[in-house]
Amino acid sequence: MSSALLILALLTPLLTLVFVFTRIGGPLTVVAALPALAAAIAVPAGTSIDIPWLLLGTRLGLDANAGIFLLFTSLLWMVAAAHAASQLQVDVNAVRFRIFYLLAMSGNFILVLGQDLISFYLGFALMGLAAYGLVVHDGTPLARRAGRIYLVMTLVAEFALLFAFVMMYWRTGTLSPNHAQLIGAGMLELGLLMLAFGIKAGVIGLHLWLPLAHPAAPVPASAVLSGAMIKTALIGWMRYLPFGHESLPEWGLLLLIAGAAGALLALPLGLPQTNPKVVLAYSSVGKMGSMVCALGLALIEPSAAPAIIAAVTLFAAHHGLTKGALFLGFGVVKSSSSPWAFSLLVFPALALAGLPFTTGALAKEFLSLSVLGVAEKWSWVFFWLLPIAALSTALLMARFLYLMSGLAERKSSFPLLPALPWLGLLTVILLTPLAYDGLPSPVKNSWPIAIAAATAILVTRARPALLTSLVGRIPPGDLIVPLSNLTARLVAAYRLSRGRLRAANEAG
Amino acid sequence: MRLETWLPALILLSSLVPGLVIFLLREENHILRTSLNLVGAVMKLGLVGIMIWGVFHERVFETRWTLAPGLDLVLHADALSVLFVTLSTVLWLVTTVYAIGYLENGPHRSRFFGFFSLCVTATVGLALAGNLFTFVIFYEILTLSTYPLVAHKGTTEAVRGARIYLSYTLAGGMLLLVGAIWLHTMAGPLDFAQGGILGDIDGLDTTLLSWIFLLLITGLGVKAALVPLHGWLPQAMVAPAPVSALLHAVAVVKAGAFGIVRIVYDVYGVEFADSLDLLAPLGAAAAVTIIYGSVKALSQDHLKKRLAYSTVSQVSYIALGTAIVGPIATIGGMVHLVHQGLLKITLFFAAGNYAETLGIHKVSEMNGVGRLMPGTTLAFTIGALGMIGIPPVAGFISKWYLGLGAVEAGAATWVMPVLVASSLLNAAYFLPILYRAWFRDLPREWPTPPRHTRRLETQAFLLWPPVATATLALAAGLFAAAPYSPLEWVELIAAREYRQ
Repeated sequence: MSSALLILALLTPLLTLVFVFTRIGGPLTVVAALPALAAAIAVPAGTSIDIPWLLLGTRLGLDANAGIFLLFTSLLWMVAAAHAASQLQVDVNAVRFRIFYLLAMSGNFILVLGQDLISFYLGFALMGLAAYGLVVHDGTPLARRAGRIYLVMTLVAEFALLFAFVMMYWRTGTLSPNHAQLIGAGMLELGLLMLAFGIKAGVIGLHLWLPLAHPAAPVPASAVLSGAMIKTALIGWMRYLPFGHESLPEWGLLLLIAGAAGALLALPLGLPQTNPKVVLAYSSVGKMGSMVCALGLALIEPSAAPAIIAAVTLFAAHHGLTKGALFLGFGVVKSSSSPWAFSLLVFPALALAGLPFTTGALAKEFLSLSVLGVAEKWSWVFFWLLPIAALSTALLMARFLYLMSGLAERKSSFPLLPALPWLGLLTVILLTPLAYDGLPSPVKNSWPIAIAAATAILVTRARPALLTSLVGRIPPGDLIVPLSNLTARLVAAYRLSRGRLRAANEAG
Repeated sequence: MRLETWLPALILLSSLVPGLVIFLLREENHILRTSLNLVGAVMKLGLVGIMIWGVFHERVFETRWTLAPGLDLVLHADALSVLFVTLSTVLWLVTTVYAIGYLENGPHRSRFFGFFSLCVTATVGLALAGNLFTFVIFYEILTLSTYPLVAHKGTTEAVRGARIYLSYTLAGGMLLLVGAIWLHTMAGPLDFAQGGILGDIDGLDTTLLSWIFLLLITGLGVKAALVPLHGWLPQAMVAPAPVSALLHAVAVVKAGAFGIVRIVYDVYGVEFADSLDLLAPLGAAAAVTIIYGSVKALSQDHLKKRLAYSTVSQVSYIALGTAIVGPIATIGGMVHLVHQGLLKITLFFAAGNYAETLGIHKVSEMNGVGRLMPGTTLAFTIGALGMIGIPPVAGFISKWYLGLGAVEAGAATWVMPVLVASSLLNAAYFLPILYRAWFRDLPREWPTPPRHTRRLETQAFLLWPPVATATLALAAGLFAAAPYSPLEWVELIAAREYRQ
């Protein structure tokens, strides 16, 4: 029964592709993630199926962490598909969008459920390439530039991962290495794993594609990109680094520093942005940074790894759902201009900032318990980092809401039917904390929000000049602009010198 | 009369006889010619099926004629020859169907299909060749029977391309012939044997053996398009689409690559060749070719030319796998013989469909073709993704084993960067085509207005071959570990080569 459900979870999105050209293509895309959701709930952890004739010998299965990843990603894929289907404006390329959406969804599920290197890689590659079709969907010059940068970085990540997997397979002799078998990886293998998943996770320095791709993609695609797809990097690291069995202090420190830098830089890079989706993208860079930072500590201190990995998984689930809700909410507010929708949008923003009694407060509490309890010399980083990250998130959300408030008009009515999927997601986020006893104390978690709100009000009321002087100073994708200018100049210089050489040859 | 002694000859005759009869047919005799072609191709497939079963169960199939004392014409089926024979037979059937659709109402069809059958006979002959002498004979027949196919259109450009092709390959054939005769005088009759033969003969001058190796590989390298011997290949793209497809996927280019595999494994023996330090230069040449071909492909706007340079690059994966010592690299190289064939024939079929249906020859004209010809473009997409090495298309399996073999041989530090660079370059020249085809809007005016009257996007005989080969390429990757997949078969060969 449970093996059938696992196979059904993988096959349904692919089989839906057959019907994508028919009239039921839209509704079918919405329910395509349903078997995966059912599998995440009903299939017990530890289930695995071997299919020896598929690829190089496939093993599908579900462990405890993969179950949670499957749960929130499948939910998000379904809600975002429903959002796409409920949008009233007619898109002539809707079929193409559905094809790439279903392919990316399949890749996501294959990656989560594939317990061998080959099927994980297949899922990773399929998801990465299919998402390109979502990023460039609108066909504007901006979307095409974002797509190009996304694609180049994704391909680099994919081939780095292939290289790493080849070495991993050769070293361990198995396509499904467990954490004990992963001990003893070489510099190159680990470095390539860091690079490949670092790009996907949007680790600072490798994040350049992220603030471009998120705003370029249509709303439902941004939601799954930020909520589901970048999270797969975490699964990759959790599965293929020797967590809990070997201490890798240098690599752990690298993740720790890079993650902390991402968490800290998200605010200065995100605040000056004028596009609300770019603000959300930088907030994702920051949140991913916190999670990567925690994984770094787990890599340094194996005894803390199980707790940290469990906490990061829950944090990823919280961030995935909430960020998805923020992107979909952006879509709802933008298409309807409804002030009601805008006021509902405040809820996921507050949840992301860690408002008491929300998933945000829970996730933060789990994460800080898992990292601060470790008797390790690097724990102090989190003592400072977590509050600062919470404050930056709150400030970024204030900026986001400020930008969104400009989109709402007083007279517009609330679009109930098109907003239904979004409302459903908000309800899930609202009710999830009820599943846990012993909520963290309200006061401890409210101060960043209070400070951020106070700052926001002060700045907008008293000294708007402070903000306006910053606005637009940093282009989306920050470093990518000087980098691509440099490349363009080098290419131009090369062409010029070649032209001169040719002219000289012709003259001589 | 026993099947074991006649089967290899029968397989040869199943295309030779129809070919000779077709030469005598009148031009209008369309139905008889088509039936002869198809019956021959299907019969050959059936015979090859028997051979696969037999070789798997270690039966020996051999046809031997003694021409003079010490000079035998030998057709012998071992696991490696069966691999290449099967590839040729399957792709011949598909290409025949395609060629019938492509050349419908064209001139000189009897001449075309006659030489077409001869070309396949020669390919199968050199696949089944049991010694170097037989191999050289069929190698030369292949050169001569392909020339009229390349020149088929009869335009000045076609004649020029064919002449360049002929001069390159005749010169290469000459080198091969000299090398083969030299080796024959030194070491006697050279029946191919798994594990090699020269290593077991005592008292051979190793310096001379190295020079002969250079002669043989250079001669074969012309057809295999190793840089700098590749100059003919981009010129030969003036040939009609089915000829290009066969030329790039199985017949000519692959004959060269197959020859290199034969010389290294079954004449010298891979370990013996390595002990003479012959494999490192071969590997270096392959690596240079892989990168050079990809870089040249980047700047080609002519679709078939871009595909031609891509062949230059991809076929050298086979030479690369051969040059790395170890069973896993062997698997990677040999399985690419099949995978590259399936992928490249798909791409050339699709290119032919664009040219025939819409009059599109250039990449820059391909905006929006995915909407007009979704089936063809889907096949093209699978072929292109396979070339880049995206799973589950078959090309990924080749790359996985080549990379693994490089790690096994301790050569990962130079092989993996070559593979990764080549994959990225493949992406750089294939993905923009896919972007144009699927994402760009249709231009207002077409070079030739598409005919909307039919239900299919193009003639059925043109559409189904690329769809079929793309499906095979997908299946070869998706079911790589299933029994009788190309990968499983190549693992059998590798086990026998390394006597494990």
